[in-house]
Amino acid sequence: MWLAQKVVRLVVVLFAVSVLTFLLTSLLPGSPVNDILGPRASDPVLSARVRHDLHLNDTLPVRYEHWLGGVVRGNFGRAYNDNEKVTDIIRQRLPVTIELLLAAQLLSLAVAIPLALLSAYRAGSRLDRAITATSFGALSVPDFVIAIVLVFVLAVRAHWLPATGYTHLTDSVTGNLRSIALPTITLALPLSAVYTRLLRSDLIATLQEEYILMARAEGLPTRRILLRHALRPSSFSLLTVLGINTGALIGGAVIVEYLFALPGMGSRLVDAIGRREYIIVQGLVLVIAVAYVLANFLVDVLYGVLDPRVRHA
Amino acid sequence: MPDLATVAPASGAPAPDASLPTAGRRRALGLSFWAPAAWIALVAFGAAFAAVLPLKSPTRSDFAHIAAVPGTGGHLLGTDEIGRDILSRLVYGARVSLTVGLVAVAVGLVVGGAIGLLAGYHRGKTETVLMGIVDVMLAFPALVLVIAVTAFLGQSLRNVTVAVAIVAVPAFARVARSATISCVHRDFVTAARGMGATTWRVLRREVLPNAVLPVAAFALVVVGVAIIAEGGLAFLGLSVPPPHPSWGSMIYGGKNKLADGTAPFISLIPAGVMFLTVLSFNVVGDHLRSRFDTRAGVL
Repeated sequence: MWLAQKVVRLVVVLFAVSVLTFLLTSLLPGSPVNDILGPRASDPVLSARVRHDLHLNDTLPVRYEHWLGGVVRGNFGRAYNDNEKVTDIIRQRLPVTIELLLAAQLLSLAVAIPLALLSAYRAGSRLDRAITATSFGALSVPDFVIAIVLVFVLAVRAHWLPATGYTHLTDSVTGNLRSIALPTITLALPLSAVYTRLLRSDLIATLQEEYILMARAEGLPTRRILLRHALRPSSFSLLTVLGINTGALIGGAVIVEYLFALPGMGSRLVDAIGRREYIIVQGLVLVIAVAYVLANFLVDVLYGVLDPRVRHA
Repeated sequence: MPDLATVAPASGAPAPDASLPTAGRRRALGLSFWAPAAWIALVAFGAAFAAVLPLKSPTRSDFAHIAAVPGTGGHLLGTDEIGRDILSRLVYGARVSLTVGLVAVAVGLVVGGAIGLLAGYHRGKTETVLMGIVDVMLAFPALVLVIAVTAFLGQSLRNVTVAVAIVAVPAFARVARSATISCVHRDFVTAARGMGATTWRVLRREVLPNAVLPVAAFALVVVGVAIIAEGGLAFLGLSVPPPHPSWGSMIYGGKNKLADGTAPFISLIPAGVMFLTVLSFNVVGDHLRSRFDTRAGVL
């Protein structure tokens, strides 16, 4: 029952997202005919043909139905200028973006969990205050600033890592990891700050529970208490924010991919917007939004699985 | 980039020292509050009076001093990659950052706040519909939505502000809703209702004054996020069109001189200014939040 409600809600949200995506690119000012034809748009024959090809003469609901009908069958349309299939773009570029996002989430968790444990266990100590202040500062640095500073220090000065470009995993595993290292660090830095702050405050609350005192009285080693008894019950809000943060990450990924010339969805989206390829923009925005909604849906369900109280609330 | 959706739930979590039993709740506001507040005042002063301050032109190049190191050639903070005065561009750029930050957040605060207030007060169907709309808006990654809207509306200060405001609305709606819910069942609201006050009056006189402080503290944090968002847009070439200065476009302009190490200050100075400004809004917001936030965890 609980899951069924969630699924119904998911379907409604997905439908609304598709409508909004469609309206976003269809209703905003700026005529695609002018964008495609440029100065030749004054030619009535040409512009009539483009209008016909893009179904611009149909009413909005008809156009939406046509577009969504294609999307459901896996046909996102083609770019008008070079006839490139939007599906092909997604197939080539989605894995790059997913790799980047996963790597960033993993790295930020790998940084945040130990820092939060250290910080919470010695709450109020000098180390704790240093960690808290640093993470607060890290939240105030825009990702594009982190990116250019990292490029300056690690790529230009130290020559440790390549500044831009992407090596496919199938070509070279180390080359691939090296090429996504800087973008991953860029995205993970502010993210790990969010996670550290969140997990720290939840851990502090958990550590005041009586069963922790009990475990301590039994003489269990600190490491065991922190990892086995305190971490799991403290990680629920972290889990939620993990899902929500995917949205922030995707936004950051757009800038980072563009800056580091990674062939992902984000850099293509920026290109498509620059070239006003609205059918591509529509397709990519839809994929991004749907992926984000699904990620949060999964987190929601997982939350219910981990904490039975949620299901009966 | 921490976007609005990220900041919203984090602000609902207890403030760092709130969970420490020993932390005194009402400490006097010290240097850690007044220093950032003074910085914001300084930036705001520069932005407001940029035109009458004794500054060089922010758009004219000094061809004798290109990429001049700070302090040389009569340029206090040096010149950028095409010889424009960095100090002057910073001050004029502050106009863009503050306009987007303050106006977009004000719009988000009013519109989102109203939605959240209604949803939190009426619950039931009103809440389902309003929060459904909010959820759908939140389904779009904030920056992607901002980029798309700005790209199609066209590049101008007004359109960038509109785009950021659109994204800010759902975040404010969420925070305002939880702030409302936390005081709707208090006795004074019940009392006002019992005395026959209209919904409008209850909302305006009883609920709003109690819900406004946590939302306002959240607003300060969002100002920082909005400034970063504008910077990101500028970095992608989608903010105010050149040659108008904006901090993001200044950082982007100096990127190559940073990468080859010849004049890293062209990027690093505006980056530092943006960092200080965003940090200041965050610190001030955090101070106010820990003062007023009595509803930790409601979100």
